[in-house]
Amino acid sequence: MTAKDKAMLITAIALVVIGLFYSYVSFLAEKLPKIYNQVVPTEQPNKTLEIVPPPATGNVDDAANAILKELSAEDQILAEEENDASLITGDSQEVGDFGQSINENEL
Amino acid sequence: MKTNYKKIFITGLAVITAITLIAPVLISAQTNNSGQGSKGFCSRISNISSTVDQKIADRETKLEEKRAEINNKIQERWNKRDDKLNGQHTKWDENRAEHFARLEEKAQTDAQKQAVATFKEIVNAAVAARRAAVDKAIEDFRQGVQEAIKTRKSNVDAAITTYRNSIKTAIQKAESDCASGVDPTTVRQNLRVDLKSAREKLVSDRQAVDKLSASLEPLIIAKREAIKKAIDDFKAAVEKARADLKAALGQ
Repeated sequence: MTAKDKAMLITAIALVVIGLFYSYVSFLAEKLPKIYNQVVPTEQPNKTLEIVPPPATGNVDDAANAILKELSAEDQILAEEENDASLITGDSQEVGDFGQSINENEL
Repeated sequence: MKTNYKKIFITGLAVITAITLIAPVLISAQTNNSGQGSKGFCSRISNISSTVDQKIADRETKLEEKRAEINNKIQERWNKRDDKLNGQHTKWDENRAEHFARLEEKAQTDAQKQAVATFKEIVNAAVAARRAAVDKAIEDFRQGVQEAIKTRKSNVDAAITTYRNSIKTAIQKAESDCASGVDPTTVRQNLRVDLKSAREKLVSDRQAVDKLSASLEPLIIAKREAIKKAIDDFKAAVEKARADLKAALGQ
């Protein structure tokens, strides 16, 4: 076997592997149903730094500012509440799957 | 010998290429012809019916499991957030008490002591009012979420019932046609049309339900507005208390 023949043989083997892979992918895409499931979205972890209460100094402005700072600490917790709305449609995939209970083309 | 290699190689390559190209087509054809044709179709209808019933029952179980998962997740989030908020309240209550204590230490005259006491009273009342308003806003929002879940469940169940009944009616009609001697090819074709129609109705019903459930915007806006008002009122009260105390203490 010459070097040229070997090169051709290797090319042929590579083509076979690519062809088989292509066939397998085509098969998966056509035959199998959607394999993903809609998962309940997880709540994003709190990435902001925790707001630390400022120390008491006896100064009126410092006291008033500290009292107002509690608002910033609460902000994120209150905003997270709205993420619950996205959970409501979390069963959409399961509802859609009912449509696969029978395939009229396979009768 | 060299020529033989080439012939073998070219022939092999041609065969492999042909297989590679027609394999997906063959697989597809096999998929599409998985039915057994109209021959014997009528005798298979009862099997089709029981298979569909079982599949729908299985999917109902999965749907219930998903619903339970969602409800648990929501409840878990609410509990976690309540705990976090309560933790914040405790922490900031302690800090506020420290600030009050230092202000009291600095007040010298009776008038100044009275001014600090008034400051404390006004601020504590403002904090309590703000927290009550925020709690109410959260509670209203959560009730809205629960109501939306309930409405969605009701609409989804109705869509599934419609789907199930449509399939049942279609199969019963096919059985009846078979018993009446209608050509099995015609019966099968009619059944296909009915089943396709039922499936398409389910898809459109689901889309309508998803659209409805996603429209929680009014709830979100109401919550934001209620919280914004509570915060604005709180800030106004604290700023006035600050100005009054500064005047009394001469700061």
